[in-house]
Amino acid sequence: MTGLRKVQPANAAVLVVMCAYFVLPLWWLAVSATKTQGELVQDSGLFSASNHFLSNVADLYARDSGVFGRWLVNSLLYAGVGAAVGTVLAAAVGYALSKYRFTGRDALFNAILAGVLVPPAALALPLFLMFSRVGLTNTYWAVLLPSLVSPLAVYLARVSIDAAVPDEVVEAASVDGAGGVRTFALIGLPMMGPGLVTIFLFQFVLIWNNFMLPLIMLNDSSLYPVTLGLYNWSGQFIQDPTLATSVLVGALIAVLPVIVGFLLLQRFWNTGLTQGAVKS
Amino acid sequence: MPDPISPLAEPATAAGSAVSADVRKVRGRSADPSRRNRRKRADLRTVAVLTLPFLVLFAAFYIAPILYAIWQSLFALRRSGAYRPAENVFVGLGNYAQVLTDPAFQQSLANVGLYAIGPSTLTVLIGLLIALVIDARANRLGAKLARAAVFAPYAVPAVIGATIWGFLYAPSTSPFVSAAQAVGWDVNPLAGPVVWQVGNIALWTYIGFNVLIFASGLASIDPSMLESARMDGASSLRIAWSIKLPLLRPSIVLSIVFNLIGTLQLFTEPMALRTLSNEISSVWTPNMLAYSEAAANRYSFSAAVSTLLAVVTAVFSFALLRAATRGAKS
Repeated sequence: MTGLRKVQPANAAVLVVMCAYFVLPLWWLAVSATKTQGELVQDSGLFSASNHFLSNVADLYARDSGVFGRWLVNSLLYAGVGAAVGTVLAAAVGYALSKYRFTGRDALFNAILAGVLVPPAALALPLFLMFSRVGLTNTYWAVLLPSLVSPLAVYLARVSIDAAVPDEVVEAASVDGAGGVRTFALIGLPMMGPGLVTIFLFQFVLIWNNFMLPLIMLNDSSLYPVTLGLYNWSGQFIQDPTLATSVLVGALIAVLPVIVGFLLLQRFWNTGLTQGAVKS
Repeated sequence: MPDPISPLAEPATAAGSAVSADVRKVRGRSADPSRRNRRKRADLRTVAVLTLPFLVLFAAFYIAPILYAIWQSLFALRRSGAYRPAENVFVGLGNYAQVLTDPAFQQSLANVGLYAIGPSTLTVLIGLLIALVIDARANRLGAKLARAAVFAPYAVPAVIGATIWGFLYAPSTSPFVSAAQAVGWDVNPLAGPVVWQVGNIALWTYIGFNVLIFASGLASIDPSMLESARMDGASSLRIAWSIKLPLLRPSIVLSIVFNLIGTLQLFTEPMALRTLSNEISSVWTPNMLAYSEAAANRYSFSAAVSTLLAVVTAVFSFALLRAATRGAKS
């Protein structure tokens, strides 16, 4: 115990410094969202003398005839639908890989593992050229369709099914005459529980944060996700400095729900990755 | 990794449970060939239904673009005369030779190389340090708060993180710069080295993710091993160094691989920071080069850069993972 006590002050110091580093920029964002454009430049403190948050929000939603609200809805659509469908697809493949033995199973699993190592950014440009041939660029599909595929999700699904769904349960169901797909949907999926939530969260965040794909695919600003929209606004600071406040308030609104959701669901992240790490 | 047991394989190994005993009994009765075949066909159909939707999308949006990029990187637009339209001509590996000798490409590679040595390595090291510190304080409130704080920036999209930091770098809006100036330190982060302007944003965003990887590695260490070390009088520093660190090896490799992929593909943070900082060129990373070449309609060159990048990434990560599994076995 003596060793433990000696290390503690150093530990505490590391944690305090680190927390300041991680939290202060977010704190600054929240404070800045309450400032007017003039205050932002004149008084660059970590506290705010006045509170203009509500009028800033009103300005933000009024700008460019309310396009910001549209961006939020788009982001929710891309990330929500993409992650939900993507998770079920990944779980189905993971289940087949985990519970069935079929020709080409190992080849399939290896191909998917190799896919994990191919970063989506390398695919974005060729995808754009392919999509432009079939006239799919600048549509919702251009962002949504590629987001449905995640090899990492399949890997996580397989690991999680190996751990959470015993073979005996699947066998018992098939002996009782339940079809394989039925067994997957009614028994396998619910038994995955936290693993399923983890995979959903992973994909949701990845799609929500995705930037290169929408940047390349979309022209029409009414199709933008919130990340791309704010990026475009910050590219116009020089022409219109009042955009700074809107970008900061918009950033706060886009970030806050995800951070809160993230922290509330933290245990899912922990359990999900624990299973993955033990296996790898 | 233990091989999973399918319904078609040997009876369940978890013998003793009533369920598996039951299965074995039923299996024994259903030994006649026609029934087995019917079962096999049903299983194949199940596998097809479960895997096909994903496989179709995987082929269309993962494999096809890779093949398409490779194919396209082998052609180039050539004009045979000033007034003739340009033609797509097969040039073999010509585009690759052009990419490899291109000064902009070499510079961008040097940039991400520096980035890998600097910020990327630091992400792994700081992540490791924080994970070990939090682990040593296991169930205290402080540790829980720290974990939440470290992880929160991971939920911030890279574009938004870069925008926040852009404001925090700019002397006119940054509380940190004005605080430094108040004590007589005239600092301007926006004039500083781009590697660290960008690197700091990535550190802030991704350390939390790396902490998570290490935390799950630490969680899988047998507590009785730590307990007996403690009984033997080992200090917590000693335990961290001699027991936890060696056992974290797979997590460390995983973290290095993720950081390597992120570094080679660096795009979003420098792109977003460019809107606020003048120091960053439009071709600062290989991926930015590929993007700007494509925007200038030089698709073949761009495809060659993308392909090269994907190959280098895959080879590096594969070699690392391979070396790690071999090391773990020996």
